[in-house]
Amino acid sequence: MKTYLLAASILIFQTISVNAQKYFTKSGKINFNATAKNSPEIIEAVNRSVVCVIDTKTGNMQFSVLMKGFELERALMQEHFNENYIESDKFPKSDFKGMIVNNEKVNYLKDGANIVTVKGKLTIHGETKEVETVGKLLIQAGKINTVAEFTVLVADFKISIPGLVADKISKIVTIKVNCMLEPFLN
Amino acid sequence: MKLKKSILYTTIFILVVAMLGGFYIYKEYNRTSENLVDVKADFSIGGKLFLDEFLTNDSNASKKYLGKIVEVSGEIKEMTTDENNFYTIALGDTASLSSIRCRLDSSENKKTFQIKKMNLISIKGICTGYIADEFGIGSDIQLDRCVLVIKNN
Repeated sequence: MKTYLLAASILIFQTISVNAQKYFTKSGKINFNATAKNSPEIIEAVNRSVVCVIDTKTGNMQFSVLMKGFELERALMQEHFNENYIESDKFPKSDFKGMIVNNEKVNYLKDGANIVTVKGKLTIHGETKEVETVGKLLIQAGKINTVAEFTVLVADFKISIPGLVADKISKIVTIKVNCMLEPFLN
Repeated sequence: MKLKKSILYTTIFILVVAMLGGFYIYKEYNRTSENLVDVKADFSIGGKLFLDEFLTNDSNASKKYLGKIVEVSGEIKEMTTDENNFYTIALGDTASLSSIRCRLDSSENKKTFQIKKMNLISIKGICTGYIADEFGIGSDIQLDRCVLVIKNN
């Protein structure tokens, strides 16, 4: 009887893990670096509360991040970032809504690295822009690690940088994404 | 003679102002985010009510709470750490997928062992916003630089 139960529970558990179609995290990581070439100080920030969801069947992918959750090295920098540049009171959230173009080539059940092309709409500072980038989906023991690095132009999102700090803040910002997604079982 | 004295005083005055100004700029430039332990909360609210306010009217609640220090009381749903040893405590009803996700200030790490046995807790932090559910994974309010409010009674 006990072995039956065990076998049954293993079977159920396996079906669940195989059937997981949605993967998610609420503690993903996004870094950005906006240090200008000859700037004496490094301007970078990290947010460790990124929400990310992938639907493995359709290849739909979404990231959401709260701008006030970005931590910069100095409090003054963080205040300027929120108040002057990104205006986080007016535009508290940024998101990316898109899809994995070559989703059918990804084997979500097998451990390994998959190079993917992701395409979609990125909204920052209330401005939406089409973006496309190449990233990696690392499948590790039933989890998906999403890794990507891409650049955006500050001007594309109508973020104005005053002349006084123009030599410190780059016009091109590098964004790094690193989110470990777990199967959503519900 | 009188003239010389006034020039001297003016010079000293300017120097002192310049030094104070320089010191202020230096302090301001290197300022780090303040620790919230001794800072009074702008709002004190139960977790369920807090979530309900955002669920009913996201933009109104955002206007009210964004960037403010909020002390939230609720049930601990989950406590997780990441690879850099940052703690996140999710407050809320275990039956619901929505929660208040509180990222602890690293200075609070040593206190986390105290709360492992507790059910109800109060956490004070800066409200960074709300991410509404679009995929059936629950809606969350996020609090940053959180400190644990442990009342001894």
